Amino acid sequence: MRQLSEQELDQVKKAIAAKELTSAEILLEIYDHYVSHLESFEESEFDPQLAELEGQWTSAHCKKLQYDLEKSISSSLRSTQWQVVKTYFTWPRFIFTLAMVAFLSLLVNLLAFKTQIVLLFGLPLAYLAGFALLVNLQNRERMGPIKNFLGKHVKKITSIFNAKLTLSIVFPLHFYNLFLNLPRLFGWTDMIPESILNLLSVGFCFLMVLHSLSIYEAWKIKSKTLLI
Amino acid sequence: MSNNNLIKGSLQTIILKLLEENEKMYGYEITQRVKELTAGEIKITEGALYPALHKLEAEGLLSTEIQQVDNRVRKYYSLTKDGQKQVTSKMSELQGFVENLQRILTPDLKPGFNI
Repeated sequence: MRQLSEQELDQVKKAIAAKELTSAEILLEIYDHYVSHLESFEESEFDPQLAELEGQWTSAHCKKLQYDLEKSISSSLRSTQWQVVKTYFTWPRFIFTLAMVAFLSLLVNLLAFKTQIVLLFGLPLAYLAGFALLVNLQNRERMGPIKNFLGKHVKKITSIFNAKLTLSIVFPLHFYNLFLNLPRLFGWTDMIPESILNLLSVGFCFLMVLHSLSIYEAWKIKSKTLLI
Repeated sequence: MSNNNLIKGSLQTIILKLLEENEKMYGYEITQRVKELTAGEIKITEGALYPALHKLEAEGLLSTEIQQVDNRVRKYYSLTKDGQKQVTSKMSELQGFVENLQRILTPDLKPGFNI
């Protein structure tokens, strides 16, 4: 067992960068595998051993690995989120939440249409924009050292894990705006009573808050053990 | 015998068994341990190992921890409580399969044969 020289480590990084992977999780795991393997050989065997590794870790294989990891991260985040929700929502809390939704819907009904739109359109947007900003700042902080480490060779590095979180925070908002707020703004929902629409909107806002907080909690739990 | 197709179906059981005996291991260490235990007869390819590890982790059978080694990070895998429960059932499942396979390959073998 020996320590690889800086030049050799650089060669390893270049070889991995040539695979054009973007996931920090995969890049770091492959890097550790390469270095662990090469450390057990003499300096004279470095080049043939690196070539052997390259033969095993083909670009296509690495991209498949990245794709599979993406799928398994999604499913593990979802199951952890579900555990978080189940732990939090005891019956009294669930009933309290339903009562709050009903109460706030009644309050919204008393407001003028313009105020309703501003409230139901603007508030979730501001909430989720702030949330996404916070998550992105945390991502930057976590990715900084990795980008410094591999950034010279790898042009684009992202974390699958972080990307999944951002997407799952932003997606419900787009869904909400597209199917509820925009049709309402253009008057395409005249057939449905306003009180029902308000109830749907307030309910959806609650679901969004619940979803964003629980996915963030799941992300925090999982990020304790992930590479990023 | 180094046929990857033969190993494929039992890879998860191999990983779980090794982790039961070794508490925590990283990817490269698992490949080397298998090589060592089988005197180089079985080589687990990276193409099979890492997806299996990631899948077991997503299923909640493995947990991971990160350690700084020299100037790099290393991901260690270990069994969760669910993973520990699974080892016994996966092992007896595999042993039963090998036993039945043996009966097919050598039909003269007595029914009470045990591996």
